[in-house]
Amino acid sequence: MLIKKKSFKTLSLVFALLISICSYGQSMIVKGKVVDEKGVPLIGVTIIESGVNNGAATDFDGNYVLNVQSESASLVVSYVGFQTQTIEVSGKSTVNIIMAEDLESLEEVQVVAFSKQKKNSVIGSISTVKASDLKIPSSNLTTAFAGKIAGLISYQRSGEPGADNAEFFIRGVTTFGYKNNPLILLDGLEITTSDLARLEPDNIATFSIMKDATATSLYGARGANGVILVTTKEGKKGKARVSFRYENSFSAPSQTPKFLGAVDYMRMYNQAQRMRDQSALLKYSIQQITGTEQGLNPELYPDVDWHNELFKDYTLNKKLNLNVSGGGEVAQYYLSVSHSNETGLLKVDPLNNFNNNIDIKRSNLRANINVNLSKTTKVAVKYYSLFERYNGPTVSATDIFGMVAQANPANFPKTFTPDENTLNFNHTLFGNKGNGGYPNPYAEMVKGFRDRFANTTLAQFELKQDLSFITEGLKIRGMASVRTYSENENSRSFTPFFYGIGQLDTDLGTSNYLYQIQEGTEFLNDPSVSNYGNSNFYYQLVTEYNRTFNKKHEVGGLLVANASEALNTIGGGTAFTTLPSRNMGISGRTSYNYDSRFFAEFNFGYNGSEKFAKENRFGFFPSAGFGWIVSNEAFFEKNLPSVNLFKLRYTYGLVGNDGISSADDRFFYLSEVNLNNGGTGYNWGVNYNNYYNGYNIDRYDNESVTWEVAEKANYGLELGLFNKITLLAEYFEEHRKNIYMERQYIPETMGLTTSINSNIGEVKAKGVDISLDYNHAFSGDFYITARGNFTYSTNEILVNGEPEYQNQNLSRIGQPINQQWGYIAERLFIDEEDIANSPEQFNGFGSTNTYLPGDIKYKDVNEDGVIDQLDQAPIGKPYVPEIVYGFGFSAVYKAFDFSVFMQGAARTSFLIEPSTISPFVNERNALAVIANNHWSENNPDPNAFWPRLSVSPVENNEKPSTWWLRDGDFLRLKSVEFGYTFPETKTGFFSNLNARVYCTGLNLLNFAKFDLWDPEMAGNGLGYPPQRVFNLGVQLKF
Amino acid sequence: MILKNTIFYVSFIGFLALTSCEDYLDIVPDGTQELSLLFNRKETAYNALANCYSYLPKNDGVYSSYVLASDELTTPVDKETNAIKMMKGQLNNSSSLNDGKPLMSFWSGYSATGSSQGSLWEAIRSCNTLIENIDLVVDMTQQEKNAWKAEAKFLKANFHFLLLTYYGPIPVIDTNLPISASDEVVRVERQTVDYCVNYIVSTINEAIPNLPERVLGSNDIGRVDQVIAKAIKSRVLLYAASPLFNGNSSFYSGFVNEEGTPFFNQTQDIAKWQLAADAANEAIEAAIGQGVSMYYYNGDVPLYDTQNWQYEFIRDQYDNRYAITEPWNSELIWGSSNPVTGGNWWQLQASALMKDPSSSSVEAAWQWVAPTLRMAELYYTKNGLPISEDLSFDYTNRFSVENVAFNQRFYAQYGNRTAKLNLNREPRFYSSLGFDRGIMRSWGGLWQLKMRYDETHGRFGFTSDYLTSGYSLKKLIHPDSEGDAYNKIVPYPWPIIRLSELYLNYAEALNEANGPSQQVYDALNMVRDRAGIPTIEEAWSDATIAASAGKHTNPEGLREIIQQERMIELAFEGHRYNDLRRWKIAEQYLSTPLRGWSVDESSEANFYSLRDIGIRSFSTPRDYFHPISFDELSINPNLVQNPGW
Repeated sequence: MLIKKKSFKTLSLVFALLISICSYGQSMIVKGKVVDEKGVPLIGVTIIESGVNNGAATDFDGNYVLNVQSESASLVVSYVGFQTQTIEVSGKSTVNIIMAEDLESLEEVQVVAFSKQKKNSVIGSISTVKASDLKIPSSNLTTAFAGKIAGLISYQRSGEPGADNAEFFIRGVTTFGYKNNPLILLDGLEITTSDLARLEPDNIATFSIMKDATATSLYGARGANGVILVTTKEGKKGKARVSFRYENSFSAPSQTPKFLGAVDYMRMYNQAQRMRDQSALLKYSIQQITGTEQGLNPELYPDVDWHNELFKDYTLNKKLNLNVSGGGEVAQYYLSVSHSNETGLLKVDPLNNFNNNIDIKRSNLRANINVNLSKTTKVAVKYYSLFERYNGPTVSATDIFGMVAQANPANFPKTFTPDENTLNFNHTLFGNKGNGGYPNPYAEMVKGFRDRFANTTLAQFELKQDLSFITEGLKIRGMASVRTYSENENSRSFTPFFYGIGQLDTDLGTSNYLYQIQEGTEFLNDPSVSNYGNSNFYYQLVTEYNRTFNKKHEVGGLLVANASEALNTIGGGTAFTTLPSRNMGISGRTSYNYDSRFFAEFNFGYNGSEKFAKENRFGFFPSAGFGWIVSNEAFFEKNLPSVNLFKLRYTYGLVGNDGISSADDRFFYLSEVNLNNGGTGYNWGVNYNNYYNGYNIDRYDNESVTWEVAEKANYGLELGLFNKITLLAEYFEEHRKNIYMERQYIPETMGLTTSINSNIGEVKAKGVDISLDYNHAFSGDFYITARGNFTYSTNEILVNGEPEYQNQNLSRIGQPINQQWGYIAERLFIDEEDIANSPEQFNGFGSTNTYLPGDIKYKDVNEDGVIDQLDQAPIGKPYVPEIVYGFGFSAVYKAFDFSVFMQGAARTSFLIEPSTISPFVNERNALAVIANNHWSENNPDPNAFWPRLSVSPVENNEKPSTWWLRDGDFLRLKSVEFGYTFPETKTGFFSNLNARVYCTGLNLLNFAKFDLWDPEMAGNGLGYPPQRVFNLGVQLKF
Repeated sequence: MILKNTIFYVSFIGFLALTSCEDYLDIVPDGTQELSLLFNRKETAYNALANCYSYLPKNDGVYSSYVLASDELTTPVDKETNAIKMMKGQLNNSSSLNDGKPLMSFWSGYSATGSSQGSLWEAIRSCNTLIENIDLVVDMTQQEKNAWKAEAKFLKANFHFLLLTYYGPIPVIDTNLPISASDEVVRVERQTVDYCVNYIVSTINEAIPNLPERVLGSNDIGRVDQVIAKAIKSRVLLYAASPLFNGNSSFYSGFVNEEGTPFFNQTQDIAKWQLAADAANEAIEAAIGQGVSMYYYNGDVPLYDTQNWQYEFIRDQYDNRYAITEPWNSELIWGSSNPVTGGNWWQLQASALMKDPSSSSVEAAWQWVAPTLRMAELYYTKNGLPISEDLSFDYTNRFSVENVAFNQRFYAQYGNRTAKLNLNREPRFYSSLGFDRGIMRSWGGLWQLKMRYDETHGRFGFTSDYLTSGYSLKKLIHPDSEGDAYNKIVPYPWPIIRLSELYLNYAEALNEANGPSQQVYDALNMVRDRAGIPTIEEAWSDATIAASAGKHTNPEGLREIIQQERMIELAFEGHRYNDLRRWKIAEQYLSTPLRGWSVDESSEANFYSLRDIGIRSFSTPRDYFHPISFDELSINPNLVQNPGW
């Protein structure tokens, strides 16, 4: 629905002054002036001679000069925010052009809550991204967000296909309540993060995130964490337009951790044993080590690089999208079909006839149809289905990556070559040793497979009625949507046969033999089956009113009534989880705009949720905002013509969050009680057999539990310079109140059998988001656009419901939500004397937890003479980055285009989890870095990366501490794209075919202090790494 | 105008949409479990009542038993229960940030194998919940409801008293605070000891008129009645009059609340003893009026003792042993009707029970909870005098070994040799303790105990289940309990309070209030008669036997006598830890090492040499009360930690 401003209502006509000099077929010079409808010259307008790579741009006065190749040339005149025109030169040497503002283009009409608004009248904080900016060679849309959208904090911890959703938070995490991520709406209907991840950028018309109170308060109790609004493309009147895209990509880990080879491993293992126990019997004999070194029989002297044995170097993925749009007076359509095939890096055992590698095939179908029933009545139907066929290993691929760290290179090969006794067996001889039980990741990986079919369907029906017959500018529309999801999964595996190798001394020397350690199955065991499904329903009725009075007073009104329901249809659970979740409410907006200079807006949301007591079921969330386009003031236009936009905005309001706890912890006004609890009963009677059960309270009823409320203030500045540079800078403050949390300060004297929660938490957040755009056309065939985004969000907990700690280091108050706690490591102990003179650590002078020189020395934070849990303190930066940024440019030169995008995160840190990488413990693999940098008697470096080696867990060193704290900042070359567009031919079979080929590189380079693995994985570095992708694509339009 | 119409039109649509909203959002079906449903009917209300009772301490579970919290019993090092760890000095104010809760904490609750102890504050809340809601039940008479309320009231008072016993001054929670109470309100303060005692006593007094006079019904026994309430009140007032709580300026002069008022009254008030004496007297009268009497065995004479029944000593054995273990015997005022029953290995009986050498199964006899040598020394001689006071007893050489004489054959093995300490003692010694070369009645027979290393009842090899002192416990073991299957252990209601305690309460209080009198002697003699020893006057008047003859005629001397009488009579019943503390003499007993015979020796000479078998640690005044956990103090800054913690 678009709102037309009266002053723009007259569509400008094509205008040509003709001074015809030249004859056909001759090149000639065309010049002219380009102005807007008010006669203001437009700077930087692109004028291209159609079909030829030849163009020019207007100068500061709006003038252009172009040498056209023929008198019959047609000029394509385009400018951001204006309708593109095609003008026939027809021999004229001066062609002046009046550009009409394009009300339908993204830049001018802004999607807002439940409606659209003219962009300049929007005063709420909304970031909009072009769908093309979200196009990266990944089948997961969420992985494209980081750095692309001002106001979005985003990061991706895993690269596992199908499980690689990025985390994203609008303006950071501003609550420690249950739901901290945004509401996601697709054409008005709430969808999940995974649904969003699977959207095809090709089908997206608009992608906006709503950040402040004015933009979100209409969503009432669902909007406090921000809203992501996505709309899909609709058909336009005209002949069928076809777009086809095919991509093929190579995907490989961006970075893989390095492990020790067998020889180094064994030497260091022996060393580690002696480090803790001088008299330890060494595990690996000299013979074993030298045998391995000389590369003798690899089955007896294995040197296994598990990473190579398990994983391919790269994998191939394919993607295809086809869409058609068009329509006539009565109906318009947008139809799309796409298919993708995504695979993992896992190898497959040659003896298996099934595939244990990840192999995901997705198809989706979209049909958006608009029908004009009459001049005032329209119907829209949207239908979308996603079919996903997943095949993969029985355990998650992330876990398989983790297993590589559990196995060591010297134990045994992944499989043994059959000897004469095992030659004819129809099973793989998986390696193991001794009595078995050592991890063989290869066996775990190839022993079975999992397949899953999942289907998501969205259907929507909308009826729009123009009510101008009642009063001009009044419209009403109603919409009903449904979303269903179902999945069925089977997992099948066989039990692996494990073998060991033994040596036999015979007269002829030693001979080797294989012996069976574990009898497996040569068949797949019964599958384990699981089903899951859910559905959402959504209804809304919108009444809208827009009218301009006396050309200067523009009034808008909107009233929405809506209701939604979410059902868990399959999946089981408790009485509470199986009941539907419902939400309903009304929302409204009134806006007023005086002469496109002053803007005021008042919005509200009034929502009810089934979770709360009747008295507190509905919440009211108002917001108000004011805007002033200074650059539309007469004085400004006169004196500062190069500033094409200068706009100030301020908004303030309340938004709610009813996602304050999980589905099984709802209905806060009800208690959760076991009225027949066997454990808390009592016997009476002579024979002690008159037994009555007691009861147990799992939750106390609390009628007063209600919404989380966010009080949001937003200060915005929009600045446009020379029609080339656009700066959008915003500062926000948020005070989140009523965060539902445990009241940890309830003393035992209350006599409660369970903790009680209420709305007491408070967080204060603030931050900045900035985006900067630059467009410049150097000449008709060379133009450049550059864009940078910066998001900073920080917060501190104001009220935490915690006890009054005597030691402030334990208090979360004043600390960020995602702050990490741990001990402060000072250095490694130098010698026994150092230990004796330092406070006792974790009862370490006792027998259970001893430590030696070379182990970590901690700081006695509370100065009580012992190191214990009370000495934990906030360490490092928050786990969720406080800054996410991105910048890049794209340049088009004639038929070539090139773009680069850099993305980074800063002010974040993470903890390496030493217990997952500590080498030699349970014969675990050793990271190569540990070999080069660990404490030893020869190298008693008190700051070595790894403390004194050990083959058993050293509790003292495995505590979370600054020793394991790492800076998570990084900057990466996120994407580079190079494309070539074929010249358009006007005749023949391929007439009007627009073809482009391109190649893209993703995650090509990393700049970070941390280098053990991809820093974006944070502490989880032994999982499935984010992928480096090389992609080749072709796009055809006709 | 147009605008107005529009607004009306739009509001109308909005109104239509909202009219059905209440129903739309009301999605929880009726019949979801809620606490109020508990008080719909009597049958379900029983659950609420049972819940109140369920918090009563479980002294008959070895891991939850406070009996082990003193120097009476001990275990091998790797079998220590939390009570023993506490006595070894491992009690601390640990926080959940560290390793959990303070040991054996009634304040925070604790988990113990078999029978976890919920926080008594939960217990109090449960009682208040019942009191507040029981009127909602539709199928109970008002009288019944009042009786139940009175029960819950009494239990609430009793839980406050238990907290007072271990923590001293405590907050009083008479009504439940609502869940929505602000943090200022939930930060309750500790009240002075006197305030707490007054609250407890007046609450019991309020309960008494509505309680049944006596509950003996076969389905209801174990529930509270007037006799029980009065008996517990006697104990409350006795404790309150005792030096720890009454005029304790030596420990607690600086232990004050926010206003500067000392939590413990600073000058001793003799009148409190009179109150205690009156309460004891009232309780005794009520009990006797309801048929409670000192227990004398009147069961069948087992075959193996028919020949011996003519001897008074034998009959005394039966009187003393069955007074504890005979279910619902005449002396029991309040027994726990919720014992740890048959099938459970963590019952205290099982861990102390002697193995039946004739059976191959030792399933139910773990044999690792042993009385200490100190307890062997505590009991009187056969003349009813302390071993150090009896001139006929060779006190100096009590650890040397001698032959068992023929006339000692009822309790020791004639012709064998044992320590002099084990001979010529009062009947209660023999009914409570088993010793090397002694006689034991169990598993339906007379058994000869042989307790040296590798002997029938001694330690085998180096098993971790063994009696570290060379003594075994008889008192808490039902004579018919057999050690080869759990279901052969005979359960009995744990004696929470019994008549002999009331006599001892009365004697102690009266002596403190008015000094020695015939009433005091009479009360003590009620206990001594059942014990099978001479009366006070008889035992202490004969200067040829009593080293300090006439000791009973002065208040201090009589106090000592009463205290020892109490320690003997109520031994192993969970009183000693409390009594030693309230008399302010705990450090004399609870900070010295425990001793026992050398159970890892097989020769007589080596076995009968003493060795240390475990430390005890007690720091004064710190250990007189338990610590409040670190967490609780952080959560509620209005609480003051007990001194020393």
